Amino acid sequence: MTTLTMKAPVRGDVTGKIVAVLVLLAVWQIAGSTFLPDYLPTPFGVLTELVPTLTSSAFLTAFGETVGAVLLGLVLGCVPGTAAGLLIGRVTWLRQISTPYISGLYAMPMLAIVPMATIWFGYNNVTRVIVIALSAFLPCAVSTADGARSLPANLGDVARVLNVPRGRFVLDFVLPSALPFAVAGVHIAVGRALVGAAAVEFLANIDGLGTFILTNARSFAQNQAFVGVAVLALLGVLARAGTERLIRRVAPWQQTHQD
Amino acid sequence: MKRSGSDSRLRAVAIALAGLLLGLIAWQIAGQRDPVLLATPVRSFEALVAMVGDGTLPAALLDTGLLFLVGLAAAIVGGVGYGLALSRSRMLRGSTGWLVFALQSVPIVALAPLILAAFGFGFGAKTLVVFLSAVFPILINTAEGAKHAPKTLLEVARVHRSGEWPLWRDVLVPHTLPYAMSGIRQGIAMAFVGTFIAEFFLQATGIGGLLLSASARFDSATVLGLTVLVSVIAALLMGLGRRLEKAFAPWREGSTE
Amino acid sequence: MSLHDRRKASTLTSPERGGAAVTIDGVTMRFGDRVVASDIRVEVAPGEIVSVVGPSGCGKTTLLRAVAGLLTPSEGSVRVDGEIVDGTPDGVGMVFQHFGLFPWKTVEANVAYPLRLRGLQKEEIAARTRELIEMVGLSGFEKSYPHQLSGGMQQRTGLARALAVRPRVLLMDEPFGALDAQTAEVLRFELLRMWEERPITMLFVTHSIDEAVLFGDRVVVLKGRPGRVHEVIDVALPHPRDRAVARSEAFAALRERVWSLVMSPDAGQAG
Repeated sequence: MTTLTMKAPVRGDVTGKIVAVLVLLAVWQIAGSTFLPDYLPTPFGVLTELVPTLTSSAFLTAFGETVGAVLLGLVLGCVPGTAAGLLIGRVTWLRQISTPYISGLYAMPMLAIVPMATIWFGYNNVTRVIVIALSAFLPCAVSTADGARSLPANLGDVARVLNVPRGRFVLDFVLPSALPFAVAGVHIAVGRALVGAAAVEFLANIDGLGTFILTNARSFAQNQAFVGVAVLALLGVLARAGTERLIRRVAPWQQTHQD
Repeated sequence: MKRSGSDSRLRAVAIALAGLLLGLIAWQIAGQRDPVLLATPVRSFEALVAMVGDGTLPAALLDTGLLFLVGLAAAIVGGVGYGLALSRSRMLRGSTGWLVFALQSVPIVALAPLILAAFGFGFGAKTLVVFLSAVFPILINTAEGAKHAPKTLLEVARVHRSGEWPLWRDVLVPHTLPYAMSGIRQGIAMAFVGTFIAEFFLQATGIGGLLLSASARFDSATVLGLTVLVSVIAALLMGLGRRLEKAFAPWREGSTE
Repeated sequence: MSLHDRRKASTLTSPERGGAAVTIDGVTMRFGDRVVASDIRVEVAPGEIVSVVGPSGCGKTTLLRAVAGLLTPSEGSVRVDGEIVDGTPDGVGMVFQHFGLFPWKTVEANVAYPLRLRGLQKEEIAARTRELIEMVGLSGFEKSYPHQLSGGMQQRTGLARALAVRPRVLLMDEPFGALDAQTAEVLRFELLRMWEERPITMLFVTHSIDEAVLFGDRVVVLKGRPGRVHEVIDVALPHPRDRAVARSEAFAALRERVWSLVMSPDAGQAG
């Protein structure tokens, strides 16, 4: 019987991984050039287009546009989102009054809000930043609210026994326990922000990585388009790795609690 | 929270309802001030009723629902199946496990134009988008769950000389089921997102199609009504997902949090 | 209480009177470079209870796992009734420290598990399960899930499951170690009473010196890193072992002796 531990010895696995990559690439290449539709990227195609695409001015402009909008949107979404989360978590009536809105919006695909947003704010960068900010606001608020509520009951008792004043209670008890949750909120927000950016760019035709992918795919430059997709994916991975490290930094006592 | 009695829960519901009512009133007033940009709730509701009357809304709901369900079903079958396979086969895990984690981070929205170019905008292509959106959380949760099957229980099975098939029946499947269910809960939400990706970027059908065409006409009443409808459906789906998750683990303590 | 119902108790364990002989023959357990137990030799006669005590890390649980066939000895062998153990032999029951109950099975289904694995008829499984549950005093809790039970009741379930196979050998892995003192005490005497009804071979690994003396016909003291057999003490206490025995002076003297053996400083012993 095999044991179910995932911590498999590394050495044996490397060959497996290399083999898997090679098989995957080979299947992809052969399938792409024989029976799959012609408009799919192939490994060779992507490889030859990689450097020219990454250094093209069209790509660099698009990259700058999207990253700039995402960063701005993240700041505009996460800061008020975290603050709102703290309030919602600690003030009961605020939580009760906002629950239907927050849970309705949180569950909703942010994509579905874009048509409304384009009517309100036009087909421009404002819409993009607002959708990104909203995509970031909700996970930050929900996660931080969870954190602010998650203060262990016996710690609350400790505070009462020690007669901790209200201000100190927030500083020494509530904030530290909410902090990892707040970072976890940012962690989710980053992924959603990138998706939101791409979606708005598609729908509203604003300059950025989304439109870069779209125009290339439409003009059958599928390899260039794929480079764009890969860059978006990489951005998401890097940002998430960053926030994960941040969680471990700010809350070494806690395991990363993520879904 | 549970112990605080039905009184306080009633109060919470009342406050939430009051909040909703306040929001509706604010919306109505704002809509009356700026009728072009912001339709009033009354007008949005009328727009929805009109669409029910001429049959467009039910047809669109059916369209969207079918796409969502087929894509989700495919994702459940594929995700749970491959997740279980990953957990029991060292070879598969070592060779493709990391690939799964890499693919998981590819934003499906960004893939949409490529899928459109390669596979067109038929039902199959749209289903593919929904499938890709939903499959990863299901797969990863299932694999994680199966991987952490408790050692003692595996030992219990061995002490009782269990074969491989009873081992699956008695230990691996029941242990993994709740993990798979929480993957499916996340998958439901992602499939809903995927449905909109498909309807927005592949072919404007269903609710997504209605939203796009109304938005192009600057018909804010319809757009707003549909947007609220979408958010209600999303919240219901999320609630359903949580129910499912609970229902499949009756042996767990009251709160699964 | 049903424990005194001789007829029922005897149907549970009747086929293998007295249980099996267990031979631990020069067993050494190694994990990589780390030797956990070295050259352990213990003979357990049919129907005998041998307790194994020793400080944490002396390899007593590892040894028990080797007897259960969960681990393979690096050197030496384990034999049950003369047959070399390679995978758990038929008729070996095991009770786990943390109960090892299936959280998704009710008490009834947990107890019935070994019977179902053996492919018995439905009616037979139901009848035997009812008997076992009654014997451990859990009637009325058949449909409860483990998380709804106290630790003591969970271990009663674990015990019933171990007895379901009509074991020739019962392996006890610190069975009362996760229970509060009072519950452990009650369960100890109940288990002893069950054993007196139908004695079978038992290998009893424990932290508790009291428990080792109370149960054991002999007490094996393991010591050192790697653990070796430091001393084997004969426990000449009368049967049945009940509360009166536990209060006797002979018991206290034996306990003192084992205590000083376990606690005495020992070369190569860390902490």
